[in-house]
Amino acid sequence: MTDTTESQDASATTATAGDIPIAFVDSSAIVALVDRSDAVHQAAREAYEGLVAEGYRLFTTNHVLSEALDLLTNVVGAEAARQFLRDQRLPIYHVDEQDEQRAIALIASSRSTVGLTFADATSLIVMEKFGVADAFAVDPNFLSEAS
Amino acid sequence: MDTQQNLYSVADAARLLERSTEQVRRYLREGRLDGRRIGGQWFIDGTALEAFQQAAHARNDFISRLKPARDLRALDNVIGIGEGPGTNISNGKAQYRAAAFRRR
Repeated sequence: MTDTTESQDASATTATAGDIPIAFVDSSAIVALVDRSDAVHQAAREAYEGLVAEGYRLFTTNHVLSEALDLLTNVVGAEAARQFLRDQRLPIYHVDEQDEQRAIALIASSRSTVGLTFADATSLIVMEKFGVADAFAVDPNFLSEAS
Repeated sequence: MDTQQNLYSVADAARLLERSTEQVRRYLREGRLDGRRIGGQWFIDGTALEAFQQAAHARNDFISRLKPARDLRALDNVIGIGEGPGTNISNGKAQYRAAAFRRR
């Protein structure tokens, strides 16, 4: 598992939350895993197996689930998107109102030229709130904001 | 603590929350903990302190209930279930969407 934002490489940043290794799952990693024709599908599979082997605990948010469903529906197709939603078993943290207010403030103050998605911003807020430094993600914009 | 108004100083709040005073001030600046400035000093209402503690317990509870990925295998059943137009999500989500539409 490497800390990198380079294209063609799925990555997870390296750190832990307390004594338990925990990684936050971003929608980009979900898409890379689900879409077998994506350029980083194989790298994402290997990164996922690495997290599993290293004893990580994985979780995501309801906003990421929504974003993943939207990306998959529009790019891979509605059938695969529905199957993903039905068959995934990630623990889901439900973003609260305070998280959303902080995400809005984060987007408003962001200097990113690409622009953070609202799901990205809530993910960063939740990661900070839980003290989670690791992310299973392949989107360089998300990873650069998370690092 | 000011008992009439149920207000806590930063030092009191830090002790109750088992955090440093620097952390409590950061929570206040970031809006994670509701407080007010009186005479240049932060004070935290007892209700806000209680809400913060409850939220912290909920967070700890969520984290403590997470199972190891090797037990849950949460994404095993969705690996490779779809086939898109041959895009590259590691270029970013916006580019991913745009590339997919161009390829169709």
